[in-house]
Amino acid sequence: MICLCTENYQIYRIRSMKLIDEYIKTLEKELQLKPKLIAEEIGIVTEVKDGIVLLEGLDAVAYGELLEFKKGVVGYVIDMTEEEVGAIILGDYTEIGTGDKAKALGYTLSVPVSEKLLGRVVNPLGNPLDGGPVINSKITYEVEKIAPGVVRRKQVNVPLQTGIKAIDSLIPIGRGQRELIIGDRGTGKTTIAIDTILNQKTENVICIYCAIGQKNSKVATTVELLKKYKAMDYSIIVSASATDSVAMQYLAPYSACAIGEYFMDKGKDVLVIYDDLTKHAWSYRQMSLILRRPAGREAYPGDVFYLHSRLLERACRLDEKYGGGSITALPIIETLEGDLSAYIPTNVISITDGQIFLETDLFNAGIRPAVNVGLSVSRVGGTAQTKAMKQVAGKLKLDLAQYRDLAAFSQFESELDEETKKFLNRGTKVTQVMKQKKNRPLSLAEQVAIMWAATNGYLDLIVVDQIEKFELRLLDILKLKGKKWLATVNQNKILNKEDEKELEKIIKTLV
Amino acid sequence: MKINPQIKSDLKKFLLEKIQKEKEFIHVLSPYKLDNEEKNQIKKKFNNLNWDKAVFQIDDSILAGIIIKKGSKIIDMSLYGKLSNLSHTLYEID
Repeated sequence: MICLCTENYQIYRIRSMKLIDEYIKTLEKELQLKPKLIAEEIGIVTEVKDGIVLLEGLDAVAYGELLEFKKGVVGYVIDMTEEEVGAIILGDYTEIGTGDKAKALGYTLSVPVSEKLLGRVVNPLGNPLDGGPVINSKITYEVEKIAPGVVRRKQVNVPLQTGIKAIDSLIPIGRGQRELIIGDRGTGKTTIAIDTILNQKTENVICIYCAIGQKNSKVATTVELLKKYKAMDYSIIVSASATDSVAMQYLAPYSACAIGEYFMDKGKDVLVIYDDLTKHAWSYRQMSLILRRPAGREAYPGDVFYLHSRLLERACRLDEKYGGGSITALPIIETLEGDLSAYIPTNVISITDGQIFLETDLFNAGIRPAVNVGLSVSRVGGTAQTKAMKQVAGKLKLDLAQYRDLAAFSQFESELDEETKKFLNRGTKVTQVMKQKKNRPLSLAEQVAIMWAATNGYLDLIVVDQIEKFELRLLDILKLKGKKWLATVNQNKILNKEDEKELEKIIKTLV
Repeated sequence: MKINPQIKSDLKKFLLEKIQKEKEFIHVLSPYKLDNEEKNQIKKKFNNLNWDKAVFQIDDSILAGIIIKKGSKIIDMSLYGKLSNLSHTLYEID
């Protein structure tokens, strides 16, 4: 025993000697180096405002460069005039006073990115907000980046399943598309976005939820919800809440997009939700007014269009040559009393590839999700829809369009012919089918089954308030008896004649 | 009192020009008065700078070493600068 111990001790001694030798060598090397002479760019703070400082000096600073104040507080140059430089402060600006020195760091703002971000809640600088370990990564991505050009892009033709019947059938969203979710407060905008995240569990899509200017309590609820449905494993939350400075709120969506670009460059499909861009525009307006930029319509600065267009343009689908990844953007805009013609809504509507319009009246009438099918569009449309869905949704669209026309018309007529009654009946049933409880996304096959039943008239004889029950029973039976059918349709994404026959058999047992 | 806009713009122009002129000067800060040999050594070391317009100032708060300023550019070779960098590093580790 004693012999062993001394042997171990010997080995230990030799090892530590080697270590000490190495230390001495590196120290010697460092001492031999001559002190580097670096010419620094220095500025002096002349004015401090809410989250923004104005500086003198800094003659050779670049737009977007980072500045370092005392105690390591970092600023970001966003304004340059003949005499002064304006910078937003990322962090605690109460520490900075007039006369303080600021040093230009010579590089632009970037966030650390890595796979470790999955399942985390971070602020726009990549610092954790969930009490977890700091995200260390050698790879950083620039927050402001020019969107990929035409050559690197590819047509959007792969569907992104939201799991919401009304959207997947009528307003299909493709991977790489930008689809706006717009509506008044309390109409279920965030719910649609969260349901979409929940549905990506089996779809191999990384989801980034960017909360801008929201209540901390709401963000906490969202995190809890995602954890409950085990959706945090493939999600990242970037949050700049209402308590954070406007600078953070302004940076949040760009930062979220930069994180998305990291995963896109790895060939993955990414979904980014910006909740919401109205508050983002507000924060930019506040910054611009403090910087004394000329105010335009609704006191927004002149470049408020570019503010959102440069962000949403970064959503794209890359060609296979460049990895084939994609970023799908779901920006959210809150309107006041359904006013779509306000400044920010019209801007973002014109930037995006379509919008999902949610209405208070529909919401109160019990149609949830409260999607106004007439005003909602997807400019990518059918190219981003699976064949199975196209087969059933084509008829559905027609049914609904005819129903809308006739419903408005038939209010004044007392006697209706059989044909009209049939259309009206079908329309009410299809409208019922479009209803869906929140946090319960459906798979492609489940959606197809219900819509097939509706378009083929199996619901015509069922009373309106029994339709929900029928749907639940159908789903239960499909899970019990039609497991194979669900699997084949979900995999092949086509509805064969045989599949249809089998579905018919199952539905007939219910009716 | 209303200020004549003409006077105001002239004044602004004058001040800007003054600042511009000042920027051409090189300021050298040192904790004690440098003798000619030291000055020559500095000039030799930084021969890419234009030393025709140079001002040598004394500032004992920098403790040791020198600081060379030209416009907003600054080369900090003072003990004070090194120490504040060190305190910053310690603060970050903390």
